[in-house]
Amino acid sequence: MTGPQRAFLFFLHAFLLTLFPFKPASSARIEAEALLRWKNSLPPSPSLNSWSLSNVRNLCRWTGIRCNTVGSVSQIDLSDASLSGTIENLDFNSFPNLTSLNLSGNSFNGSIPSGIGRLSRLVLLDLSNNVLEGSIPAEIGNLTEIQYISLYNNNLAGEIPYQIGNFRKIEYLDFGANYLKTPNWSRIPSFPLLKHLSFYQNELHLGFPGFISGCLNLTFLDLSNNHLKGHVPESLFTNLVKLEYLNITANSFEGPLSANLRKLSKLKDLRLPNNFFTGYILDSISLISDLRILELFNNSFQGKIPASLGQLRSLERLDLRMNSLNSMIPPEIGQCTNLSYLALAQNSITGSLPLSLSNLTNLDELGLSDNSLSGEFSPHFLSNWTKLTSLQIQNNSFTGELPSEIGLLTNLSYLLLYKNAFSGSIPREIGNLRNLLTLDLSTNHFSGEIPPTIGNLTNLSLLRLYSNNLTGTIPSMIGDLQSLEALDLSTNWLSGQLPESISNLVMLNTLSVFTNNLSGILPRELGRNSPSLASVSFSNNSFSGELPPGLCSGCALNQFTVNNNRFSGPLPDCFKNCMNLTRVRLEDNRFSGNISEAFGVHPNLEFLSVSRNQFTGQLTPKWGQYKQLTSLQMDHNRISGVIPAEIENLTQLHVLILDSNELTGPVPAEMGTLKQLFRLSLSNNQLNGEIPRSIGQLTSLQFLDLSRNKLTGNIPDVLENCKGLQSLSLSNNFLSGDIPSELGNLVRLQYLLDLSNNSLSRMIPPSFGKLNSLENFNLSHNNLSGRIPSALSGMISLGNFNFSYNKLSGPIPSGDRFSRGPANAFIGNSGLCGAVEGLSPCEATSSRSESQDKLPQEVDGYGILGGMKWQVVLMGYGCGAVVGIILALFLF
Amino acid sequence: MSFLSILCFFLCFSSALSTNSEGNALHALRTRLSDPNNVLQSWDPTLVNPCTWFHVTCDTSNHVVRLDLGNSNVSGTLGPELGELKHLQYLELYRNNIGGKIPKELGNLDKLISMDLYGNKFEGKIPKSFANLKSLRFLRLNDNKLTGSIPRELTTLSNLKIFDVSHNDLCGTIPVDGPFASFPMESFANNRLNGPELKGLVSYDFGC
Repeated sequence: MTGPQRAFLFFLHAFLLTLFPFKPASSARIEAEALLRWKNSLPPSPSLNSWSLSNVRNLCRWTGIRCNTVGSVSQIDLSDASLSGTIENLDFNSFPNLTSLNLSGNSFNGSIPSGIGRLSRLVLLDLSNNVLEGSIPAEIGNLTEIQYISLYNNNLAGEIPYQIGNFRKIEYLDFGANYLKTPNWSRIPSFPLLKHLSFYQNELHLGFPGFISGCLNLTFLDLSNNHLKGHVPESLFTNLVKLEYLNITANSFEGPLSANLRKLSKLKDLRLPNNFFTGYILDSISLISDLRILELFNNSFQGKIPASLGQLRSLERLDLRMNSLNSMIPPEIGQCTNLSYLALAQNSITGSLPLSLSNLTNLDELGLSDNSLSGEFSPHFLSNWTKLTSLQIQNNSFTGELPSEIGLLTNLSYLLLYKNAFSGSIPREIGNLRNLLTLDLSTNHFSGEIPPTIGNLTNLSLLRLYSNNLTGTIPSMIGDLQSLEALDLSTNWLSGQLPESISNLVMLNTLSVFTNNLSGILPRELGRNSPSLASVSFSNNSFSGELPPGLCSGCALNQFTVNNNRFSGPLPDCFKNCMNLTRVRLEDNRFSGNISEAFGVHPNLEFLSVSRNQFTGQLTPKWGQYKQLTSLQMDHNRISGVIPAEIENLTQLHVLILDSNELTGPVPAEMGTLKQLFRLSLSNNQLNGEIPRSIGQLTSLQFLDLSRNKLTGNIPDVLENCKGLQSLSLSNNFLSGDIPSELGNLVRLQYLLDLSNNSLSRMIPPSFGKLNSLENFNLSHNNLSGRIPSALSGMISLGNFNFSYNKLSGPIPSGDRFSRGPANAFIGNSGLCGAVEGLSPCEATSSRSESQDKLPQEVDGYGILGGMKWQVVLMGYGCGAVVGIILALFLF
Repeated sequence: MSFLSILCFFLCFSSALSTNSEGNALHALRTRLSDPNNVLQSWDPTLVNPCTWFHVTCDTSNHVVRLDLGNSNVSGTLGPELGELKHLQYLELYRNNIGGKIPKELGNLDKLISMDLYGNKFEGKIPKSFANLKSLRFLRLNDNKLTGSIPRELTTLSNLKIFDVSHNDLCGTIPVDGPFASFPMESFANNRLNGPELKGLVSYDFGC
């Protein structure tokens, strides 16, 4: 710029300045035009109707606009004006006299323009509750007159600009509820006038911001919900003595509480939850005598609840949940008569409730759950706690009866008494609690009948009375609980029928009555009016008749367990449409019908048991589509046809039990894909052909039962790959050839090795001597010949064994395990000799080396048979079934 | 109301439907174990009882009689709650990475026929309470890091057929009474054991 030009500009400037006081309209016009340009950039809004070019003269009366004495815009207040768009088109250069800009509570998006720094006279800036994004411009540091700034609740990100350190007059600063990150705190000096500071819910990390301890006028400090860690500096407690509100909830602060905490004697509200504080709750906290809210939950405080807390007479809210406090509740707490919220849950608090707690007549919520509290629940408490809306004392050891005074708590919404030792009957006065939403009395010793007054609780959504000693019938008034979503009465002694009225529960999601003495036919309409019904369990009762046809009409059914009843007939038609089924247990009933027609496509089905029913039909290829199935149990039905090759797709299958049906054809070679399978039983069918060599791919197998079929060919040597086998039964087939010596490598065999009743020939492999865990061993009824290998004396765990009806010869192996074995273990072998009942003694010349040299002296009998009754029964059963499998099938 | 209500819902809906103590005991075991192969995935505590959980076998009264977690690649520790499995006959936890002490509460399992803890990282002593396991026939503790002596009380286990404590860090003398009369020396190999005790001459805890 040349000299004359500069001079010209200077004079022009001076000229304009001299004009200024006389030409206010032109300044106002600039402001009005800037506002209108901005307005025009925004989506139309009726809030700004007064803003128009034709109305420039009334600029100072435009909505949200205030002017100073000379008519220049000094305040813009458009809070809660339903505006959207951005503030990027607001020309901040045009408002030299603006002191207050309030745009809070709109839907402004976009970023905060750096031009905002031009508002050098700005005292108040409120952009809270918008959806502003981007980072806070460094130019904001130019607002050196600012006293109040709130950017609360936007989507601002990036580092907090250290230039805020220039706010030397700031009194109120709220950057809460954004995504702001830690700046270099050392570049931010303390603010001498700051009273209110919030960085609530941002992404601040590293240690405690250092400048804060120097802000000596702070009364309000909220750093909650960040990632700050380390110790809280001692200087906070010694310097900020004006603090009334301190909230550092949900950070990662650690260490013990400072003894200097008591110096914050003006505190009304102290919130330290969800950190890693340790040590004791200091007695001296009681010196903060105006404390109204004290929250210390979810830290690692230990030791006592200080009795001195009783001095905090203003206390309204005390939350010490989720620590490791292990004292009794000090009676002094009863002096805090303003308490409306008392939460001591999830500690290790012991003893009974001090009677003084009945003074807490303002209690609204009381949470004492998950402690070790004991003793009876005095009626005195209940008659004083009539304001309670939530009473949660579950998971303690309270005893005695539930006082009838419970009926006085008519404001209760939540009553959770589960997992205690309450006894006696459920007081009928419980029907007075008409505001109840949740009632859980489960897992106590309540006896007697369910009071019919329970039908009054029409707001109840969850009712759990399971695992008590309740008797009598289910009252039909339960059908009046129109809001009920979950009903669990399982594991009691309830009898009679399920009341018809239960079909009226339109919100019902969970219905569980398993393990009672219920009987009769289910209500015909059950499920028809309950479209959300997802979980149903009637297991272990004596229900009979057919399942109601509308049971699954809502198609929400997920878990359906009705095992161990006397249900009969087909499954309801709607069943096959239940796409959400995950768990189905129908076993031990008298269901009939074609198994493949009863089920549809259930892609989420994980567990299916239909064992011990009267299902017929064949397994169609469809069964290969249940890809999530982990357990498929269909034993003891009348299912026929072949096992479909598509079973190879059930790769999640762990348990496959199809025994005792009428299956024909081969064991599908495709089953080699079932790598997770650990239990496979196909016994007692009509399967034929050879055992596929792919069986060696089932490397997870622990229990394999192919007995009682018509299998032919050799035992595949690849069985040795099934290294985890604990039980192997191939008995009662037409297997022939040698026993592969590789079976001796199945050293995990423990429960059973049964190859009996086949046509196996030649030698018993000496490798069986390695099976030193095997307890039950049967080779009877084959064509085995030669000697019983002396190596079999290595089978030191044998309890029951059977070599009978073969062509074996020579001496029996040494050791009293064999000589003291079951009486008939060796009969039917013409050539065996030895010192066993029924065998002739061996010739001295031929038997010396095997049967005499290492025979131990007579030791006291081990009582093998006496201690193993069930195994004897098993062997007597003579079918090679694995008891473990049978047992498993009787279960849910 | 909000905080407690939320807590309530969390606790209510996560609390097990089952009150079966055996199921609770097994679920407690699950929480102690790290299970990279997901062999415990089916152990859902909300089920009626643990009898449909994989690797758990029950009898007709729904009592747990077998626990088969051998070779399952689980690690962690055992807890006292296993003593709740009063009907357990087979406790098969062999070849895993389970460490810590063997809980003395296993001595409560008086129906136990077989206890296979071999091939783990158990440390500490063999609990004396094992002397209560009158039905025990198979006790294999080999290949662990057990210390101390073999409790003399075990000589009262008249049904014991197999006893293997080889490859530990045990000390003292080897009992000779009761079933110990017939156990082979391999069952005691690779310890700091001092050979069969000389009754009446040496203290039982000699060398410990």
